[in-house]
Amino acid sequence: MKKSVQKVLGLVLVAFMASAVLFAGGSAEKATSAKPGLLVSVWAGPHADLQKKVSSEFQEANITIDDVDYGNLKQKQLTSFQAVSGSGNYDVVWVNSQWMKEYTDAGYLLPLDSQIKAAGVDTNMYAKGLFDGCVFNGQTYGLPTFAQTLIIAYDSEVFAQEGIAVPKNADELIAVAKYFKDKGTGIALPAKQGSAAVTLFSQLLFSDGGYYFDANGKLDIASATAIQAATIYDQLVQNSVEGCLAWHHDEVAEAVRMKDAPIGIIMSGLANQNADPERSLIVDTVKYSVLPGKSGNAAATNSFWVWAVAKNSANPQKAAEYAMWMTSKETEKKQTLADQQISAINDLGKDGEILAKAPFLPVVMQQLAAGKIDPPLANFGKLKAALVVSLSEIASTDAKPADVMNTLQANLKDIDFSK
Amino acid sequence: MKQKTFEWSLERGDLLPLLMMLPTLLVIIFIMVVPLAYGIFLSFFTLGFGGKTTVDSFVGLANYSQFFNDPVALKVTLNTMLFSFGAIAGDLLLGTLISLLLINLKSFTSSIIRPIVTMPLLVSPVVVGLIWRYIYDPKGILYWFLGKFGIGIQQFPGVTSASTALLSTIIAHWWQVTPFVIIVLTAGLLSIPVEYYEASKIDGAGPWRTFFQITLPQLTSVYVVILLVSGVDTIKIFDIIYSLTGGGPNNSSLSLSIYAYSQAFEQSNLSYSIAISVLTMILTFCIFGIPFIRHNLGKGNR
Repeated sequence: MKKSVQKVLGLVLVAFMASAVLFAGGSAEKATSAKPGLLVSVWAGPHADLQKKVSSEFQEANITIDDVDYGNLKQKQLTSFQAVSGSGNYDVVWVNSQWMKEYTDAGYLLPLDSQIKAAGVDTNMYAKGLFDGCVFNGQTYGLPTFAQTLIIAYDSEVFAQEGIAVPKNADELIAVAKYFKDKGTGIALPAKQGSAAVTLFSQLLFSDGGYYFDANGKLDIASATAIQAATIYDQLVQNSVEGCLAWHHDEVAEAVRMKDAPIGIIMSGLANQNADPERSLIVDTVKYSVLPGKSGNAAATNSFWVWAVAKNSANPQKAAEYAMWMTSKETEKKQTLADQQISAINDLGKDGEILAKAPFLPVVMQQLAAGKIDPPLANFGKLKAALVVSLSEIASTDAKPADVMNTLQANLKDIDFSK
Repeated sequence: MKQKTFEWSLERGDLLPLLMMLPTLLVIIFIMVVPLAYGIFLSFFTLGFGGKTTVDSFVGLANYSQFFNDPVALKVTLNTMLFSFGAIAGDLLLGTLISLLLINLKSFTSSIIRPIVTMPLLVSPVVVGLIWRYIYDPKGILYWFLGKFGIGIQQFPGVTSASTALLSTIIAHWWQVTPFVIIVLTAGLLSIPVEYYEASKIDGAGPWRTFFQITLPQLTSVYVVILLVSGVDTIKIFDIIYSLTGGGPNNSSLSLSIYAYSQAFEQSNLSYSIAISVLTMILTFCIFGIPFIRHNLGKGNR
């Protein structure tokens, strides 16, 4: 009896092992025939849902998108770059253009030149200023997309009722802001301590021909033009809607959309929401104009995003194909038509179909064409961090902009901005 | 009398306690001590993400001396301590008042109110920050309420002014953490024998005297535990401030943890960030750890 039980148990065990081997073989075969998977890191911004939808149409791989809020995005990407290849780390990363220098210096990104050449992608189709922001030491580390800049959005109905003209320079803009402030509202702008205020300051600086450094590459943040830009920023904040000191881009765009402010300095990437009747009270009345400096010129701080491939990707070839596919003319046009995000492809800026959908596009393209890029310097982050605090000081205290900028210049004088 | 000597003999059982503790010790060493020691080791270098610890990148105590010469770091340390003391003072005061109120209510009423009062504790600190961002909005509920008394954003600028931003974050913290104090203090209050109160009543003690002579002394240990937990929690405050003010305006609400985070992830200054974190840990130990140890030693001696 005992022996027969042992025999039965032995047979069951053998049968179990044989079936396990057979099934394992089957699943392995299935796995090799299936499409590879790519893990993609993107900002959970206004276009993340569309990116997910569009990515599902990529035929060469199964795309899983991890959309993370802006505050934690860089941290998650940096952590992923440290991970062992194939351990659930990101294959493709959507990188803010300002992080590119740091990522490439640290060796986190894969050069894509050979893949671009093999695929026959003509990189001249991208706006030169933006594509150049993806090239470091002669190698291309990504492809540009989703260009953004600060523009003016205003309620044309209110402007017509009040008999106000669209401001053509910074002085007129301040006067308009003051007019509405006296009436109980004001201009909406991002004045919270953070990078949005720096973008606004930089754009005012660039519009009047200024820059952070002089012709010799020396820090020049207390130049006459820089002090002028800081003063304009200060006067705009003084005539802003109550609460602006706690507002980043999202809150500003919402204030304009909800008619809390008749005029606002909004990030173009959020302008698409103005046309959404479920989220906007100014669908039919919103109009756009450039954000002018004192001279009347308007230049963007060229802010954009880059599709790049992580060096520790387990499938770099497919990852590169995905990055090129996402920045192809067809995919970009599809995304722009769906929710008016602005690509880096020159031709799409003149596409009639797109222009009809995105009325703010000409304003954005005008500013981008005259725009400048933040310098890809190792220590630029230190300048930017210091500017964040200085602009917050200007906005929230009685400190004179000239004094603040002179102090900033003195505090940063020992930092090496040469490389 | 023969003194017992330690021997490395498993048979005699001398090693048994050590062996019994070994799994816990290993967990503590590998999960707590080793990463901490490695972090402190990295703080002696100048590293960004992806950097290597080499002879060239070794800077000794430079990151620590930089902290004491960094005006932002010193301002942030003061902010953090003000936040900590303000937050704990409010937590204890409000927690004590509400828990005394609840314990004196009828059982049915308190059983309904207590879960409602403790609900904010279940909310994530980041969400607390977002909730209070809407509350502090000029068109939000706070200014609607204050408006009934003629107070507007000019009189109380909330998160938009350097003078009130830190206080505004402290108020948000009170809202979330006071329920924790209520729960712990209620447990402490229920453990005080009723006979004490009956005796004090017979002796003619009023409510103030009863509180200061009976309740407070009986709750000393509970308060020490709350102080330690809240102290550690507030010194490393991050989420509420980050989502509510981002540290502004003009760094007026910036905390040590947010400053360390920005050094690591925004300026790629990992070693300095670790040095800030190590100094935060030492500060926490000095302010809250040492009194806790002294209290426990005092209890042991008694």
